[in-house]
Amino acid sequence: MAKELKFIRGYPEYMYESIRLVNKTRPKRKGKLLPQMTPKEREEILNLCHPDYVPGGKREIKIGQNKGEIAPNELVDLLEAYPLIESKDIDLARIDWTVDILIIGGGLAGTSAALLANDNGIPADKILLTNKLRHGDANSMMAQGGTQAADRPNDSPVLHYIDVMGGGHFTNKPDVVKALVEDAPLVIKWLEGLGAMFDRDEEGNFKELTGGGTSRRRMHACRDYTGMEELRVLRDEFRNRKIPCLEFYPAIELLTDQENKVAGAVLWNLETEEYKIVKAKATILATGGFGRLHIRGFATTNHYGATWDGPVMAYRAGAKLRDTDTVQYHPTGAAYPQQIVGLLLTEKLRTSGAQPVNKNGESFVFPLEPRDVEASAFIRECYIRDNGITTPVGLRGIWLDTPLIDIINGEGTTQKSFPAMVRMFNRFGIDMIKDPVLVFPTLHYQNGGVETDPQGKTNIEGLFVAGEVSGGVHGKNRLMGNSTLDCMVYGRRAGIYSAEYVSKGTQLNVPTLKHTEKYIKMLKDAGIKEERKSPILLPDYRGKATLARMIDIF
Amino acid sequence: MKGEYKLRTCMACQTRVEDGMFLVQIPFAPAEKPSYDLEKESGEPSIFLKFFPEIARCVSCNTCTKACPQDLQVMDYIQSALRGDFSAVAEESFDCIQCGLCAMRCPAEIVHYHVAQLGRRVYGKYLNPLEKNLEKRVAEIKESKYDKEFEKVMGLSLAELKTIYTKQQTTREVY
Repeated sequence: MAKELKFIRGYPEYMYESIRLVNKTRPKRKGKLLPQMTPKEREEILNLCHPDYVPGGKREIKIGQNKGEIAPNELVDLLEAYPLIESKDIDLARIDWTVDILIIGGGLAGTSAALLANDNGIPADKILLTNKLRHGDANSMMAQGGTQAADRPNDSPVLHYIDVMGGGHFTNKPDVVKALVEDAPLVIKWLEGLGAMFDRDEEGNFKELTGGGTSRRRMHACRDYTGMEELRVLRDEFRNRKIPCLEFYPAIELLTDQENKVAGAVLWNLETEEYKIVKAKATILATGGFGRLHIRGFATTNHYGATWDGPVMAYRAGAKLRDTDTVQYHPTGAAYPQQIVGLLLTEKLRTSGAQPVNKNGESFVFPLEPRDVEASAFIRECYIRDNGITTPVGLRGIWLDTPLIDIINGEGTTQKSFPAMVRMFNRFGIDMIKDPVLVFPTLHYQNGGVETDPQGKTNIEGLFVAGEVSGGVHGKNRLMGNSTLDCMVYGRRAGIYSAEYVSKGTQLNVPTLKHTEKYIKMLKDAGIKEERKSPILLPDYRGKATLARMIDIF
Repeated sequence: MKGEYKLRTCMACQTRVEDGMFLVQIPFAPAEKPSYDLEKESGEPSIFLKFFPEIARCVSCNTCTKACPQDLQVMDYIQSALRGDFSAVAEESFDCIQCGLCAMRCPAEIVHYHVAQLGRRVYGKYLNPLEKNLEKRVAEIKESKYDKEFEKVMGLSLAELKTIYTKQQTTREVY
């Protein structure tokens, strides 16, 4: 039997020894930050440590629109996989729902799209929102830190634009970024009118914070429940309007007509395992990201359904992807205790004064570099300089010195601003107000996706995208507070412009699965064997021992 | 739980995993929700009873509070709603994740989390002033005030844009 660990305030004794060093250096570190890295230093550390930049883990895509481009193996595996269904098995003559607009995915993007389509003349019963899990079971719900919008007098949408472009290493689509930053204050205004409760000071002005790589304070937060507050308000409004909504009904393939327009989708009931056909004049993909693919073995902040279904289906229909070679690792995922490894500890902690420190209690990086740079610095500290703290199961991490938040901002700040996180750590006997917490980068976000334009349109007629599933807004690295913003700006835009597209009198031919037949031929011609199917819909966490004795008896 | 005779309800994502735990899924909590148009309402305290008359049936059994995985004082905010105190409802219910465990157990069939949602929306919309900076910026954007500046910045070469970005990063507000 292994030796029993002794615990002090929720930590094994040996880890708490390191916390004592952190406590000792805290008074000296208060208010003193290391300088920011120069552009050259940033480039060096990215090349040295960032999982996107170091060799391995990726390969060339063999078929389709992005043939020849490089992407992580986990993504290429899903692109180079066979559809779940074949046209001979599906009766397309029997349509279950005929609507104007089908929205796939009910996070902030999909829900915003439904509301704006409705505002722009599409009656509620001509919209259908379908969810793989429940409405709101989405990464949006888990967004903590805030939403960026340049509304303070010393700020402007143009400054916001420059931050976004720089943060994305100038690989973003400029016109798409312009729409993002110009719509940002309009989105906050929209939410204010719907009754969302943003953090305010005594006079009723917004309390705004900064973020990594952000030059002005423009983060609008709702404690550490920002995404949840935004989404539950929008969902309440959605329910007030009685817009039809399906739950536990993932889309498993898009439908196309003879002119290659997207014409709806095949849905699949997770419980009864029957398929349903939706014919739609316009289809909005708002399926989110891919954290549950655990790229390069990283733990993730993402919810259970984040399995990249959207881009897989869109790619088969001929949509173009972009920036799929980059992945966002959030610098501060929980690294201890084991039950919560990978879960998000918001960047707002660092914007409120928490500092990253190593096992000796020393600062080693400016706390608010852009996410890719900050994450790389943490990896260097753990694996190259060997200054990390090793957990009982062998993971490494560095301390995030959270007690500084109350010291800098006054007692009670942490409890008031981060109720969700205080609660989470309390369950394990850890008091983050008094003791630091252990962090390591965690798989957080797909920077790229299905290429969008400023109206949320893709290169395929009838197919719109919004939110994390789309590519072009963030280039090769997203800044804090721009994802919830992206979801709402482009959710709204996809709603408006799909309504406009439908109102112009778009006519559809018979929906088919011809594009999947073509895709299957491409797979065969490229010599790809029929050993994988996609989209995978849900991740599989059964262990090797279980899988070794599994039999399929139905 | 192993060795326990009682069935417990909880959120899988909010509960600490323990040895010997056996999990059965309840896919969703069914709940009725009235429709309302906030634009046609106002900050009248009677709005709670107008849309949720059943809150008057609360017998103060406190089962809702005991069921809450977020440790909220659920019964207290229902009492605040009965008094029409929007600020208290908003404050006491803010951390609600709308899981529905309270509503599933309530003998009076109150759907607590929908009551709280109405309270927070009314509070956010009618009891907070319009934010001044935001009002001004929205007006500026609608007047196309930034078009020229955007045209200029978007017309820059990559090298020029990089220089401006680097400079902007050095003048940043940190805290």
